Formats: sequence, structure tokens, C-alpha cells
Amino acid sequence: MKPRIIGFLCEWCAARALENLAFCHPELPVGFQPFRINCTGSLELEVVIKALTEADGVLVAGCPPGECHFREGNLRAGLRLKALKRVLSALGEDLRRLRIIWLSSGEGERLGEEIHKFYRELSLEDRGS
Amino acid sequence: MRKIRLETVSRIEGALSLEIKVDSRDNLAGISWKTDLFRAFESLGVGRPLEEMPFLTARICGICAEAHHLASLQAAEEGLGISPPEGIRKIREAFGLISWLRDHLTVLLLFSGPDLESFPSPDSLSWLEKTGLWDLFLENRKHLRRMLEIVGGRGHLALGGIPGGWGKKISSEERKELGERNERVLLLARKTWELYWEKTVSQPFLWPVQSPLVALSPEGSEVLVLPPGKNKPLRFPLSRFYETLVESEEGSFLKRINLPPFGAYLVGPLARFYLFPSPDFPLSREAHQALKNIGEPDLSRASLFRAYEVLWAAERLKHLLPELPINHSLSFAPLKPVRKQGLGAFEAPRGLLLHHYTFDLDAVIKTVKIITPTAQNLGVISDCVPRFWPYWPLTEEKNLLFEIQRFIRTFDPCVPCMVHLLRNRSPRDSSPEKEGQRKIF
Amino acid sequence: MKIAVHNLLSCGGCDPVFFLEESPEFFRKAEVIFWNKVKDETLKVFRKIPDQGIEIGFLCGAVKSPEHEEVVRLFRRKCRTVVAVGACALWGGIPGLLWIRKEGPRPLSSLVVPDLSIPGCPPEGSTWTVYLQGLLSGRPPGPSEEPVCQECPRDRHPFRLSDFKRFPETEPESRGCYLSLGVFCAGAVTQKGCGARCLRAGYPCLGCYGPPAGLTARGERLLSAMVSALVPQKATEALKNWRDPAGSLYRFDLATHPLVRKGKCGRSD
Ligand code: SF4
Ligand code: SF4
Repeated sequence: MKPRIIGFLCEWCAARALENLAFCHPELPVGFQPFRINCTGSLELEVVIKALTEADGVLVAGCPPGECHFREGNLRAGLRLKALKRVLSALGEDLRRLRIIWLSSGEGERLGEEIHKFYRELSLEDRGS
Repeated sequence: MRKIRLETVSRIEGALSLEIKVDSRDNLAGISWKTDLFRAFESLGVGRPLEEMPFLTARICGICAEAHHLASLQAAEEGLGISPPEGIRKIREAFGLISWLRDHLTVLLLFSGPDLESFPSPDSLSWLEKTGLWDLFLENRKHLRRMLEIVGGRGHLALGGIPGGWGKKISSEERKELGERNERVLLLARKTWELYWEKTVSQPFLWPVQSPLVALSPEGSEVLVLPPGKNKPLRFPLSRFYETLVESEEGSFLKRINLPPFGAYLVGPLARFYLFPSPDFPLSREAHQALKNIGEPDLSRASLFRAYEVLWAAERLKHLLPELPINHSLSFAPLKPVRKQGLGAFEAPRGLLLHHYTFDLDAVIKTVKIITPTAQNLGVISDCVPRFWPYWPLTEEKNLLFEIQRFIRTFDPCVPCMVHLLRNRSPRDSSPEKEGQRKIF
Repeated sequence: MKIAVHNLLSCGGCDPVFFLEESPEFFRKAEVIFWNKVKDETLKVFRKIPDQGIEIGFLCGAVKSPEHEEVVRLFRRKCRTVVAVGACALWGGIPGLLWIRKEGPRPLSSLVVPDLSIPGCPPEGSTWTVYLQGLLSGRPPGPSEEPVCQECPRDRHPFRLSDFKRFPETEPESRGCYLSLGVFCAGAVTQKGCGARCLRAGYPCLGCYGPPAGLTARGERLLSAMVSALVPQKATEALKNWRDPAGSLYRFDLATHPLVRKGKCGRSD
């Protein structure tokens, strides 16, 4: 089965970073499926859970601390996801499947690296392609 | 070798099926019970906050939820090093008594009633109709539910108990209402006792008890054990009794509970009768006297002892209600355990019930052990079936099954209680039975 | 009217015996075809009934064994109306927490579609009456859209939290909404109908009536609400001290959680 990673990328940072990265025609792993969201703070936990049931891993990428377009959306999201991680661990979930990173729009390359790293950690690299 | 199968034992709490093996000379070769009611409460309690246990464990059994609630509260409080004030204890006692009344009356009038008639027995509803008690029974179910609601906050599946206190306040109007409703309960209690006395007392003795009788002492700190043939009970401190119990795996899934050196023992109304002091209330004193005179403990009359307890509980309640505190102030025990474990005991309608928990310093549960009355009585049931076997109508299958069921029903077994505590097997040692039915014997 | 009643994986507390007192006339007129509490009948008899031959079948409890499944399917075949009663039948109930260890029961609705679902652990008598009467008059009710908060005697007001609390850690006679005290009260994500019984007995709502109509992911929503109220500087500490996350969010309905349904949850220990 092909690997699948769902990415929720904030449109003010991570989504732009991905666009920037695209100009360099990078090689991204198979099955990375990015979604543009309007702020990580608007990401409902329900959606994260749904993504976790359908994909091998979920990447949430938002703006670095202090740089949120909506002042503290990323902070709120960070707390909510941290709390969700506690719940997931209580449920016996593999916590590596949910990954949260903070980066600014200029860090396209880093985003690419993070995606690869995520695939490696979940041992998804050799699957699919 | 032939097999007799009974898909559902009727008129008991929960679903239980039975398979009996009989050899060519009609000897009993084996009996196995099956149920798929296993819900593993002992494992799902792990990790839960201590204060939720009274609520959660009430869901072990919808029939004696109040008993689990009270035993659980006590286990929690022992661990937290708290003993609730006198007034709270009275509220809890009243709560327990009302639940006894509802449970016993339901068992007597709905489940075991038809057993007073000879085979083939009518179904419960028509039997109840015939006795003329149907309307009064339903009326009283309503009263008792309302009474539980007044005292605990909910009419079913127990509520109200919080470690260190009691969450539902009782107003003075409510207390008055309790008294009025209890008068009607007392009326049904009397009629039920009379009915059972009249129908049972002239019957011959069938099933003499040869096991020790066990009950919690009335003040709750000791367990009384009356070995067969003796008339003075041995007394054990509660925790010693609990530690003495030995569980052995019998058959595939049953955990049989033995009390060394005696082995199986009997708990419940019959045991309580021979271990508790005689009551001070007029009707139950008279009934007690009458029962004393009929002779040795005999299982075929177990229902009569249950009927006596109904009378006693209604009278005790009448006495107790005026003492219940009005609008007491709430208090919660701090969640700082002083011990790493807690043991709670309660005389449930079916007999002695024990809850034992261990927990961490934050009062989060680490282990749960629950010993229910039915689990304790199972040993006696399994010892008795072969003993009484030759006296049953072996050639007529339907009649035989009826007699066996009638015998089982004298113990008033409760299947949800009986099986929830079987060990939860880890997925590794799976067997075909794991997902499906669990053999008990 | 022919009726049948059966308890699957249940504590026996939802059984209509307990609600006899609510609708005595109904039960008196009904012809009980199968109900092991009151009749000496077995499934054998039940199997012989023609399909659709029974008017109403009441099923309480969750589903775990193949035998449970057989009974559920039999009920669906034999009964024109199947009524699912109680939290275990609707969402798996408290034993659903066993899914944390990879092996729990499933709700009845995972096998067949019931015609009526009566919520509660157990349903209150008044709930029972509303649903039964609705059914008999041809207008079976569904879940309420409003939460338990509508029936709750506590005072609501905006709040910020610096810590999560367990309910015995609050001031015993306090009148404020449990959420504002830091307690995970499920009332806001639970449908009303019980009269906020637990709140009137000192407890927070533990959530037994299930989600209000249209509300999904109630556990996650409750979590979001609570975390959003945390003062950021105190949040890490508060989350660290939070006890029993799974129990406080999914007490009665872990069996219906998407991760459980997908077989992606649970550890073997
Ligand atoms: S959240 Fe709980 S305490 Fe607050 S109003 Fe709702 S039911 Fe009442
Ligand atoms: S308050 Fe909540 S837990 Fe209590 S009965 Fe109502 S819905 Fe159930």
C-alpha cells in the first residue's frame, strides 16, 4: 500500500514555504498530501483525528511563535495538539504519527527536509514508490 | 453419554446457558455454564480517578448498582483515610435499604414467584396477576424508584455518593415523602412475607446447607463465619478475611473463591439470618421468631429468608428515616491517599460484596478486585448440584431442567456480577472462547 | 401487540423490567414472546417466529460475541421495530473503555440500524416514556439538539483557567459551572433529557446521554474548549496534571471513536 501523509499547512507560512520550495522542483516523497488551512488555530481536532484514521501520519505546520497572523492562533493550536497527544497516548496511539512544526514562509527547504524526516521516522520511505 | 442443553436460564439477572452431561446410567458426568456477559470491569477500572469508581462500578450490575456504589465509596474512603460523619452514614444506610427492598421485592415477585407453583410453572406476569399483587407491586416499584431518586439523585444505577460525603441533599418535604412512600412499601412487604410463608412453610426440606455461612457484621468491621453444625460464629477482621480468601481457577474461566480451611461458603439472606441478631421491630421480630422455629438452614426455603428481609428492611427504614439529616452541607474528601489501597464491604441483597483497590499517590486506580456475592456462592452451587442430582426427575428432560433452574434460582444469582470479574486474558493466550462464550464451570 | 426483549452485553440496568413502573399499561397489554426475565422461553422459540412477526423488539447492551450478533440480526429480522436502549447499545457504553487495551464491545448500531434509540446509562424513566409514547403514536423522537447545560442548576459565565481540576478538588458548595472550575464536565457536549441528575447530586455530568443531535467529535470539542480556556503560561503544567484523558473525554463512547473503528487504537500490554 502506498504511504500517505496528510499535511495541514498554514497559508501564511508553511503553505508559502511549500510554494517556494516548488520552484526548485524538489523531490518529495510519494503520498504527501498538503492541505492549505487558514491558520493552525482554526484546525479542529476532529479533522486531525479523521486524518489520523486515513493516513500514516499527520503533519501540522504553522508560523513560529510570535509570528501568527492572528496573534496567537499558533499558540492555541500548539496547546490543543499537545493536549491531543496526551489523549492519543492514553489511547495507545503511536505518537510519532502526529508531527507539529513551526516555520516561516522562507524556510521552504527546511519544510522539505522535515517531510523527508517524517517519512523516515515512520519507515515509509521504501514503501510505495 | 447424552447432553442436555438449556439455552437461557430463565428468570434470573442476565443471560446464562447450561450444558449437562449425563452418562448412560443417568449419573451426572459434568455440568458447564456459559455466558457471554464478560465485561472486564477489573481491567477497565485501571487508570480511572478514584472518585469516579462509585459511579463506574455501579455499572457492573444494574440490579444491585447501589451495593457496588456503597462498597466502592467505602474502599475509596479507606484509602483516603476519611470516615464520613454520622448523618452521611445514615443517608447511605437508607440508600442501601431502599435498594435492598427494590431488589428483593423484584426477585420475589417477578423471578422466583412461579417457583412456588409446581411444574409446569406459569410465567411471572400471569403468576403475579393471579396473586393479586401486580398493581401493588408496580405501585411500589414506583415508590422505591422515587425514594432512591430522593436520597441519591437518580432512580436507577446509583448516584449521590462522593468520597467523604454525599452529593444529594434531602429537603424536609422530601424526607416526609420518603416516610409516606415507605408505608406503602411496608404494606407490600407484609403481603409478600405472608404469601411466601403460606406457600413455603409446609413444604418438605430438600436441600440442607452443608457449607459455612458468611456475613458482614452489622457494624461492618468484621466478617462472621458460621461453620456447619456450630452455633457460635468465628469473627475475622474484614481485611484478614479478604486476605484469607483463595481464588482458584476452576475449569477454564471460573475463579472459584474458597475460604480455607472450609472451602466453599454461602452468603446472602440465609447466611445473614443465622448470623445477625434478632430485630427490634414488631413485624420482623415475629417473622424472625417463626423462622427460627422451622429448623435447620435449607436452601429450598431461601426465598422465605429473602421475604423476611424485606419486612425487616422496610421496618428498619421506617425507624431510620426521621434521623436523616435535612439539607446537609456538602463535603469532599481531599484526593490525597493515606494508604496505597482501600477495601470496602457491603451486605448487598445477594450477600457480602467486597471492593478492593490499589492506587497511586494521586488517587488514580492501579488495580481493582471485586468479589461479588454470586461469585462466592458459585462454589456452593457447584458442590451441591452433584449432591442433589439423584433427587431430581432425571427421566423427564423438561421437568429436570425446571428443577435445576429452580435450584439455581434459590441463590438468586446475578450473571453480570458473577462474570465481570473473570480474568481478562491478554490477547496473546487467545483461545476460541476468548471472543465468544466463556465457560464458567 | 407482540414484543420481545433481550439484554446483550449489559449490566441489566436498562432492562425494561426497570421501567415497568413507567408504562405498566403498555407492558400489561403487550404479549411477551421472548424475555428471559419473565418467561421460561429460549431462543429456539424465537427463531420459529415468522419474519416481521413481532411488533417491537427491545435490545439493551453492546455486542461482543458471535451469539450477540446472531441475536441482533434475529431481532432485526423478526421485529418490525427495533428499539436500542441505553448507552451500551448506542455507543458501546463504559465497557467501550476496554478498547484502550485493544479488545472492547461494539455498539449495536454497528450491526443493524435501530428504528429508535433511547439514550442514557440508564435512560431515566421520563426519557423512556417520551420515547415509547412517541413511538406508539407514530412520531419516534430523535436526540435533542440542546445540551445538559440547559437543565443544569449551576451558573454559567465566561472563564479562564490556570489548572484542570477533579471535581472533589472544587469547593463543595460552589455554584459555578464545573467547566469554569476546571473540571471536565461533559454537560456541554451531552444531550439534555436527564434533568441534569448528576449535577443535582454534586457530580459533574459524565456524559451518559450521548451527543446532542448533529454534534460530532464531542470528546475533541470538550478538549478544545477546556484547553482554549487555559492561561498559556500555566498550560503545560495543567496538561501534565490532567488525569485519565481517555476516560474524561470518551467515558461512554470510546467504541464509536474513529480511531477505534479503524482499528488504529489500543495498546496490548
Ligand atoms: S458544563 Fe456542566 S456544570 Fe457547566 S452548565 Fe453545562 S452541565 Fe452545568
Ligand atoms: S447529568 Fe450527564 S451523566 Fe448524569 S444522567 Fe445526565 S447525561 Fe447522564
